[in-house]
Amino acid sequence: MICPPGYDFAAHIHTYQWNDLNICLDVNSGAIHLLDEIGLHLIKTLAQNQGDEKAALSVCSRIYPEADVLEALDEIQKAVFEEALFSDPQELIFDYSSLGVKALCLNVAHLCNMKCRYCFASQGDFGRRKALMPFEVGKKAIDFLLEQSGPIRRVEVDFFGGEPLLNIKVVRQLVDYGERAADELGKQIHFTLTTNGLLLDDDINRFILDKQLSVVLSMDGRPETHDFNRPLPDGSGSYSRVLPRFKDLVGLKPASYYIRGTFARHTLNFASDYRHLADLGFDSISLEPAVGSGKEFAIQESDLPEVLAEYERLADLILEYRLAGRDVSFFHFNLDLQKGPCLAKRMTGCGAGVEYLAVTPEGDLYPCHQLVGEESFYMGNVANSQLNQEIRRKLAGSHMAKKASCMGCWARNFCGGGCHANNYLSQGSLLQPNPITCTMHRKRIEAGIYLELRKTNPSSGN
Amino acid sequence: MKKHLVTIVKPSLKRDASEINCRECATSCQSACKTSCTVGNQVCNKQ
Repeated sequence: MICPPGYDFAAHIHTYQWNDLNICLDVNSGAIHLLDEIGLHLIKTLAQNQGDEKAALSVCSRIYPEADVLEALDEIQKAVFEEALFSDPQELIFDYSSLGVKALCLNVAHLCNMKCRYCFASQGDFGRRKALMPFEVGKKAIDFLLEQSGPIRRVEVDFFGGEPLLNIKVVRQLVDYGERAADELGKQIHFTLTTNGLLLDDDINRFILDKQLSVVLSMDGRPETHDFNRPLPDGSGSYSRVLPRFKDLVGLKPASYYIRGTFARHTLNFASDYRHLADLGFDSISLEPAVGSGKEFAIQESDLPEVLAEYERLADLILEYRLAGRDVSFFHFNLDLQKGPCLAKRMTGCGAGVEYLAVTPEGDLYPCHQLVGEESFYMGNVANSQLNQEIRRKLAGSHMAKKASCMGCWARNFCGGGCHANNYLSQGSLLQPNPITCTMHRKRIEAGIYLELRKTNPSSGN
Repeated sequence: MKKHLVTIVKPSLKRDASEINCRECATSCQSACKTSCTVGNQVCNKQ
């Protein structure tokens, strides 16, 4: 036997073909191999025969020359010896609830100047009263973050909403305050601003550049897609209003930016939206599926064939741009296979409710931006620095290893067990991933690995 | 020279498990990911 009895091949080995590449991921070690036809067939046959080399050799030798099959088996055995194939799962035990809070999503404005159809924030107010965060509340939130982060040196704050630029005065004050307060403690604080762009102007652009803010710029793609999804309150489209503003800002080369869009079930051909954004000159693009149970815009199971085909088109488009000398990244295909996160990070996923919290304009704390307003997830207020430990333990205990379906899935070390909010809102359980989301995610990971491998094997056609 | 199986990415996760858990890396929802938890594309700041 090439592996221990009872080895779960489906959970620990993933082989797939993408265009002309045969790819094998060894899930537990993170090793990735390229296979020829005989190697692929032999590994699949080993899996079908529970690692029985003699049985696999017998099956494959009926199709390929025995000498070649023996040679392939020898190479597979060497990879096993190097713990790069059929490797065992590693049990990782530590107390996730002991982690410090290191990131806050500050909802500085619970109101918005757009009326996007798929908005999970109920057009900005999260189903609560419309409000702007006062400076004092934001200041307490930053103090809370710096205190709770303990020995962690790098902390993060995302200005979110609604539309955060509706409260730009407080955003500026909080950046100044956060920089000073972090500096006094020898910490680094990094700010991100997520905006729909309507209020961007030269003055705000200068501020973004001076303070080296990362920006996430909300735009869905082609005019017809964007205007349908992201109308102004009067129903008219916002594309022509935001595009010149985003071009101006990106042209100034901010510290980091992403054009981030959403595709919904009525705008599924998002590869065309990627192409449109790339042709406008943007080179950092993120398009995410609309989520939500029972909502008319959210991706449904019947949409999956089209969505998966779009991801394939998108991968081909990325290669087209590469061949033309442009690297136009797609956030959810980005993988650094050599310098990715450690296993502990992968197991804890997004860290919502443990390392990451969302703060309302009133200072109320929730596990993440998507769970704001879900009263069963109310975790406290920045005014008293007390976190609901029961909810915190519940979220800390909902890590990947606690999810039976994740532990049987080859993609687990890339998605970290899925989005807590998505799992809860669609399945009613933090421990039950949304199968629609999982299917899309697995395809994105396959594409991401393929595109990385293509960097080292660019000569083959697609 | 192997010809049937070529290792492009060497094993790394086993080493990571024992050596690294500094939590200094970015939180996924602070990046361009707001609804679809992507952890594998975050970069380790320690390597």
